Amino acid sequence: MIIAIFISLGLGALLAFAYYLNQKTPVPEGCENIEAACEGCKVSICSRNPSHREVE
Amino acid sequence: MGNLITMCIAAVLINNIVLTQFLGICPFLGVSRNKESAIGMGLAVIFVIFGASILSYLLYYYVLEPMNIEYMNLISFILVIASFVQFTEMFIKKYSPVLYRSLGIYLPLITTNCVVLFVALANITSGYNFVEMMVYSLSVPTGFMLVLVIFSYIRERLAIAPVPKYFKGNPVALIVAALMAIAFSGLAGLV
Repeated sequence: MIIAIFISLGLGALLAFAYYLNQKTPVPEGCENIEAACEGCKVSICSRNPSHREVE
Repeated sequence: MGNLITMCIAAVLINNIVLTQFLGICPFLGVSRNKESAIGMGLAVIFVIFGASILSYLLYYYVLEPMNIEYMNLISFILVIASFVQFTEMFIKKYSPVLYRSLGIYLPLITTNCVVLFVALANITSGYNFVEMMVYSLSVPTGFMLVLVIFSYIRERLAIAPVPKYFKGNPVALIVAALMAIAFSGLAGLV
């Protein structure tokens, strides 16, 4: 049980680390407005869906 | 070898993940409005499923099973897939701006694609060896890309077709998807 908790925490930490590194990596030149270029599909859960921009 | 070819044909054409198991319907309907998006999404899905399946397989057989915590497979695979997508996006951002320009917009969507988790779990429950797992993990997303691209070509034609007002958009798209499922069911018995 303790091993299972440690593995969960380890994988969670890996995800957080990957997310942090991904956010820290600079976006390539010419791709700054890649999210604005998204016209939106029906997948509203995606953070790039325009419906999220409207809320902000 | 024959077994692997049979498995590949079955996964791509006969037991197509979208048309027979109704998984991955969100991107199937959402990203099929033009063929460029469909091809980009399809390639990104193939890459992510293949990579995430290998990682999940190794995690299960070298960590979870030896420690008798197989019940952790679902949560572990979800975290592995999400992490892999983040690392993939970061890598592409850093080393291939051209690829990022074409695929970058679809990468976060893949985290929510249930096909990725299905393939990772199916590799374990089916008891595949490493080679079978790799073939299956390439075949399933290839089948996904095949129907996604075919569907995008049809939808581009539908957009300019004289469709009755109340059938425009998703209703007619769903009817087309049903017809595609019927057409693909005709391939049953091929292998």
